[in-house]
Formats: sequence, C-alpha cells, structure tokens
Amino acid sequence: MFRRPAQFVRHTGMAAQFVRHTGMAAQFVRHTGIAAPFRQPDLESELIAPVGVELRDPHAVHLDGGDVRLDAHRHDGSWNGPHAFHGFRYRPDGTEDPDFVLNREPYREASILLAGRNFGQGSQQAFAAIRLRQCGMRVVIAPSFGPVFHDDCFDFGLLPVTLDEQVVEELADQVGANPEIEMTVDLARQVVERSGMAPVAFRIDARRRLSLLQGRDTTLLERLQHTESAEEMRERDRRRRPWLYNEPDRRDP
Amino acid sequence: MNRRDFIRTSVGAGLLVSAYPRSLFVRLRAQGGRGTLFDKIWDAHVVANLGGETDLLQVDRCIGGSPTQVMRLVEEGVELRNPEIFYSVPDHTVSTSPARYDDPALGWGWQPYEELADEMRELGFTKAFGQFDPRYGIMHVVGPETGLSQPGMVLCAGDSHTCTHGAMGLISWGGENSENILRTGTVIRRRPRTMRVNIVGTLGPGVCAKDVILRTIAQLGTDSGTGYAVEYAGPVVRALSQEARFSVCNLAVEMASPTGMVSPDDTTYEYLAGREFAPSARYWDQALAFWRTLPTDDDAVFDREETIDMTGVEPQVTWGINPEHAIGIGERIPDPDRAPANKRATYRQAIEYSRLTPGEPILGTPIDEVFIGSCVESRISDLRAAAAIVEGRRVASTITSAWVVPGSNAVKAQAEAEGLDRIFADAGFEWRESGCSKCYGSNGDYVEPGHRCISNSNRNYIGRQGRDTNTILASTITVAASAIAGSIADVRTFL
Repeated sequence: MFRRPAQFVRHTGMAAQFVRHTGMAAQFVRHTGIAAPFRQPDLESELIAPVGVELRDPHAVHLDGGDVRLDAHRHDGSWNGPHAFHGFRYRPDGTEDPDFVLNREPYREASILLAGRNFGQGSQQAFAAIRLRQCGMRVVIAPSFGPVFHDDCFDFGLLPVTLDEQVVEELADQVGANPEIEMTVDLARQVVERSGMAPVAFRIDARRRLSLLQGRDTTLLERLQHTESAEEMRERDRRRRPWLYNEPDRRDP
Repeated sequence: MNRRDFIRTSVGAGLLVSAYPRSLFVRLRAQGGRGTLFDKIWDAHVVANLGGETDLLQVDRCIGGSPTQVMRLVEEGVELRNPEIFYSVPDHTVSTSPARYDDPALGWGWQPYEELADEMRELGFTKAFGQFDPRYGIMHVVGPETGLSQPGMVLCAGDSHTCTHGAMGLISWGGENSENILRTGTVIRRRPRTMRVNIVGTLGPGVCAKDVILRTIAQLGTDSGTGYAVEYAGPVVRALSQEARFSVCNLAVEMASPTGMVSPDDTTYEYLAGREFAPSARYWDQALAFWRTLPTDDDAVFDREETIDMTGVEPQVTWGINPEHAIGIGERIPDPDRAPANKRATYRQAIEYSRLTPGEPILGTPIDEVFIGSCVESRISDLRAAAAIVEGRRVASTITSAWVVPGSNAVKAQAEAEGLDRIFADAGFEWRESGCSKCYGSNGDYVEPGHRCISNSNRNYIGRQGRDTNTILASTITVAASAIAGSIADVRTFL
C-alpha cells in the first residue's frame, strides 16, 4: 500500500485545526506584553472556561466522545464564545466586576498571566487554553499546572511556564509595583525578562518546545516516523495477545 | 527434548540471549526489582525510547473518534490504522430525558447520535454505540462492562476520568487527542514516577469505596499525585468488589494523577469472564495466564508510598469547592482562619461560595437536589445499594429534584429486571436514561442556579453542575439517605 513519506504528511493535528478555525498563531517564539497577577491557587479548568456557560450555547462548543471538535466552534465564521474567567469577570447581573484583575487598567491588555499553584487542574478542557488565547493570553507562569491543561496549552500556542512559587511571587510583586512595564518571555532562549529585574530562566520539555517554536504538532511527525516499528510491534502483539484483536461472531448491531 | 528443556541447555540459552537485543537486558538490569504493575505494562508497550524518560507507546484501546473527525481524515487522504482498537460512545452531550430518542424539542440535548454511530460502523469502526444500542452508556461504565477494558492494556481517551479503567489492572489516562492515535496507534508519553497508596484498616458500617478515595484525597491533597502513576493497594482495596474499585480509581485524577490502577486478581477476572468483548473461550486460559503475571511483585519498589488508615473513618462528604474538601459526616465545617496557610485562600472562597458557616456541623445542612449517577458509581451494585436505603421510604418534600441515572443501557435494563426502577419511583426519584447527565451539567441536565445538590459524582468545582450551584460529594448510599432526610444525613442511621 502506498504510504506517504512522513515529511509530506499533511498537518491535520489539533494545532493546525486551531489555526484554521481561529486565525490565531499556534507558533510561539518570543512574546512581549503586560503581565497580570491572578494567583489564586488550585484554579480549576472549569473556572477558566466555565463549561456550564460554554455548553448551553450550542454554537460555542461541541464535545464528541470526549474529543474537542474545533470546527463546531464556528458561529457565522467567527468565534464568539464567552470570555475566559467568565465567573470572575462578570457579576451575576451581567455587569463587569471591577475587582477582577483583568477588568482593571493596564491589565485589560495583559497577555501574560502570573497564576497560582496547580493552575488549570481538573477536566480535560481544551477550552481553558483556547479561551485564554481568545482573551489575548500567550503565556501563563505558575508554580505548577494541572496535568491535562498543561499538555493542552501546547496545541493552542499558549506557553505554560513553571517557576518556583517564590519566583512567581517575586515576579508578581515586581509587576504590582509597576504594572505598565512589559515583560518578555523568550521560548528560544527559555528566559523571562523584564527591565529592572534579573532574567529568570525556565525549562520546557524539548519536544514540546519544538512544537511551539514550529507552531505545529511535531509529536505527530515523530510518531509517524516510527510507524514501521509500531506496526511490527502490533503484529507481534497480535500473536502474543490474540484475544485483544479477535472479535469472533459478534452480533450485528 | 521439549522447548523449555532445550532453553535450559547452554546452546539453548545462548540462542535465547542472542535472540534479544542487548539493550533489553541493560534495560531490565537498570530496572531491577521494579516489578510494579505499572512498570510491567509500560515496558511491554514501548515502541521506542525517544530520549530521556520519554517513550513512544503502543495503544491497545482508545475511546474516541467521531464520524466527523474520521471522515475529515479520510477526505484528506490520511491513512488510518487499527480501527479495532477504538470504541466510541457519545455520552457527555446526550440528554438523559426519556424523550431523548424522539423529541428534537430537547434541542441541545437531543442529537441523532444513532446515525453518527451507523456512519462510524460504515467507516470500519465497529464499536460505535449510539443511544439506542444496548451497549450505550457512560464511556467509563461501558468499557469494563462490555469487556473492552482488560488487564495489561494501555488505554487512552480524551476524557480525564479515563483513569477509572485502571481498576481492571491497566494503564489508562485522559487528555489524549484521538486523531493522532487514529493515525499512528501510538502515543508519546513521559514515564511518570510510581506511587502506591496502601489503604489499611477496616471499613466501618456505611463506609464504602467512595469514602475511601475521598478520605485519601483529603489526606494527601488535590495536587499530591502530580507526575505519579498511582496504584491503590492494601487489604481494603483487595476486599473491594470490582465495581467498587472503579469508584476508587475514578477519582485518581482528582489527586492530579492521570493514572490510577489496582493490581488485577480473581475479582477482576471473574468480573470480566463472559463479557461481550472479553477473551473468548478459545483464548481465555491463555489470557488468564498472561494476566496473572501482571500484579505488582512483593519486592517491587515504588518511588513513593503512602498509607491511609480507614479504621474509625466515618462516611465522607465535601463542604467546599474541590474534592479535597472532604470531612467525616460527624465533623464540623472548617474555619478558613485555622486552615494551613497555603490553603486559606481556597478555604475562604469555598466558604463564601458554598454559603456555609464555619464551625457548624455538616450533618443536617439542607439540600435542594439529589443526583445519583456518573462514571463514579452508577453501576448495578451502586443502584442496588441505593435502592436498599430508599426502599419503603419517601424523598423529602423539600427536595425539588431527585434523579437516578443508570450508567449504561445495560445497567438500566438489569435494574429494571430487578425492579429497582419501581423502588426508586415509589420513593419519589426520577428514573432516567443513561448518560453523564447532571454530573457535568452541560447536556441540558443541570442543577438549578442557587441550588445545593448532593451528588455521588466526582467534581464539586464552582459551577460544575450548573451556574451558581453547590455540589456536595458523597457516596451513593449517603446521597440516597440524604434524599430521604432532605438534608445531609448519616447513612448509618438508615442501615
């Protein structure tokens, strides 16, 4: 059977879909912008993108057997779902809550979030990352992340930077003192910079870093490169554990 | 000379050694003594090491794949592999109203999923279950129930509660994009460290699997499992029924571990025997012999060990906004000012959101709605236990809505055959179709704004069951007892 060489494989992964449907970049090399401190610990992904709000609007989102279907996000060709942090941003009567940090100047324009421990814990919520992108975020800096949210970020051009709690606190203090001074996050050099402050180094998993730098799912390419050994292993497995692949006499549904 | 004797000879041994790459032996030596269930399964699935701790793994089972997704890939000329490893059940967005089969007026909750399942079957994905299918249900109930989840597998899906399947003695995690698995049959994953949570002591009356895991999370914390694959072990877990073990593993992700598992034993094999996709009689003995090699060895070394003593622990309920906020039924609502410094902010927010008063007993807190269902405890044994509590009693008149949502169509049919639906209906519960329902609050089934709902599900985050709703997590029997009392109740007085 004809098989396309891996390097010519079309990119239909999540990152490519994201770009196609939102027009936003999945690539991240270097970003400079206002940072906003919002350091509530244990913030669930469902509070970042409230699923209750999302799913009551059939145009906003669609879940399919647990998979996110980005194409269903379109509504008249544009994305117009609710904001990230809906519950914090608005009061129950629908007006803006002036106490919420992203409703204040200059944080309204913020694109870097200084977040709390265990940020984005909970459900698989690709929307959490997507909604953050939609409200202009490119970077989230936190002492730790929810595991699923952390992985999701890389599909949607959002950079999760893990730094010590103390360092995040210092950054937040610095930002609080002079909120209008911009911060630069450089993924190529893996460093956070801000004038009047020593650069802070961070580490991103090499594989994930490459995905973000290239703005496409490089892990898919990497997997495809191992197709042959995977197929060989599967063949061996069919002999070793035949019962996994054997479905005799199943009734016709 | 038979094969085994031949291998014992020097010639045979030499042949055997030369048949395996040297790297395998280096690897085995490097991991000497690490005979945990997790390590055994992981090592058997490594296609290639991609440097450092990151491996390319073969996937044995994947939940996911939607017709739109598959057709898009087919149109784009992408080669799809191993359709037999997939099964798909659209559970999250389907209404559980009895009218869901024929009433488009349900709008958002109504979807022609049956047609989508047919399309999937035409595309070669035979295990696609629409809502008419007797095998339809919550994906984490359907997998084990139909025998699709078996010991020794690597099982992936998008949904975070995929860790539920780990109770069958397999590695499972959520958050995977099934599209990449459709194309390659593999995943790239960094090898997590291993943690064993030993559950010791004895369970008191009215204390069950859900209380065990709530207590564990309350003791260890919601971020305690970050970077770990957790195996639940110890005499308490050994004594649990297979269906109760799902309840324990289901909440592994609530302690931030993507993978929760239990070593398989006879309980597991007996549960699996005879199920539709379980090994057929022809392969059963072979499969069983293989499964028996899987459980964690006595001398296995874990990166971390924790012990939870269940002796004297009461039935658990949550008061706050994450599963860590669990206390005994006889305890008082904690005071944020006395909480550990790093938890104080969350405690304050929880108290404010839940409209509870610190220092007051949790027992007797009034509730508005009751939900029994979800991938934690919606299996037949859970419904039987709940029915035993409510039989001959009535749901309190102050409860505006009390639902029982079976985990799958098969559970529903079995419960109806046993007359459980009548017991629930007579007690004033609403008997629904199967699905995720109010646990998720996003399929047309949700808790009314401002209501407090006692629920046997797994998440009590702000707005989880609907906007401005409070969720009290508890075991199924505690939920059933509370429905009768109209407030948070001690199930032990109902036994």
